[in-house]
Amino acid sequence: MSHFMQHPPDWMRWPSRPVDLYRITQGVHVIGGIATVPLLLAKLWAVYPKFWQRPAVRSLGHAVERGLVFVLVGGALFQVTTGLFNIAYWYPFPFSFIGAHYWTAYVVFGALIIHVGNEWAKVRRSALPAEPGRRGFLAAVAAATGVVVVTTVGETFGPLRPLAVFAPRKPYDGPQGLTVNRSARAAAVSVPAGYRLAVTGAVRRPLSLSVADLAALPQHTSALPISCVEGWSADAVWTGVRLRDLLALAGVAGDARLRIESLQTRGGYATSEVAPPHWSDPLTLLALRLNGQTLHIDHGYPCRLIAPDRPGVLQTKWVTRVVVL
Amino acid sequence: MKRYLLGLPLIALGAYGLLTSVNVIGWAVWFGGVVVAHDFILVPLVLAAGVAASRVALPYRLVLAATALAGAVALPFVILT
Repeated sequence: MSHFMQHPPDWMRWPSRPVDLYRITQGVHVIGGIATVPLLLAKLWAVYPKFWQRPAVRSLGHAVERGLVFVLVGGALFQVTTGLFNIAYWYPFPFSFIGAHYWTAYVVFGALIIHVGNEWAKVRRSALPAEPGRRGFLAAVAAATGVVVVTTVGETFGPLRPLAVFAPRKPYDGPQGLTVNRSARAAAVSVPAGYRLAVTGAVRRPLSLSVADLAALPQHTSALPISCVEGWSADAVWTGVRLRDLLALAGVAGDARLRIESLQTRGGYATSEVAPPHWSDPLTLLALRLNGQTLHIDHGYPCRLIAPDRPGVLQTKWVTRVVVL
Repeated sequence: MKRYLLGLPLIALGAYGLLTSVNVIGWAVWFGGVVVAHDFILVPLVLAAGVAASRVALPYRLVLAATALAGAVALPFVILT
């Protein structure tokens, strides 16, 4: 889902509501992934003796089955390992995380369907054996899963925030009460003295606005979360110019797509595209203020994009150009 | 047979995506590497730890196992962030 939001195929129209949709889907994805780690390790532990079975291969059919089990085990371990490293912001691998994690998911689902189909009859025959050793094992696994969920889910689920001791990000730790994923320094951004925001491309009246010009336009306030692809999310209150007001001023077609460009020049997220459902949403702002104060440079001063139901990496900071495509 | 008709095309689609948009050699090294690391390093270590812990009474042993399991998940966050 995260992948489709960030790289939508042409036929896909992503809605801007409900506001928290991405926050919930990505929270479930990441916390679910964390919960999978103890379960996967326990599952592999339980079947490990089969790994050494002799003869290793009994027939051609058995060889295919074991080959597909290797695909499933490798894929599942690959997904949880790369996913865990990604949310810990550690990239020791020689491939792009996003593409590898996305395409491997298809491999895992395919191998999982085949494996479940092959084992289904066996599972039904042996449902619920009551040996005491197994019960203790399952209790320990359940406890470990519960512990890792309870100590991380608070990074996106407010009521459990005090328990989120293992969460890789504390969502409200940072300037103006909101955490920062990439600071201005990390992005090598500095704001030029003569900063202006340009609205160009397929417009009837190109605009060039200073910070004072932006502040003189009608200001609106939206309470919108930053929902990160890494699973954490945080509520914040933003004030600024409605993107659709700005586009109306410039004279833009209702079905236009936009490219928002940042002062940031390097990195895959220096620009982002905005489709009509998001730019025409009244909650979508080019924000000048955060939680009642002028935007901190690490939050994107002079102005940043903030829209509902949108991954945090696409809430472009340090906006300098809005190009109508 | 139905499961193969459903599962194999999904695997093929994933493989196609990996071949066309990912450094597939690096991917393959990691794909095999995590299996080797699990089957030949992690599990033997856990087996050895299990032998060492066999003198601990059962309920406490389970607590130890659960703690180790949860700790393993939390470890990357604690060291890396």
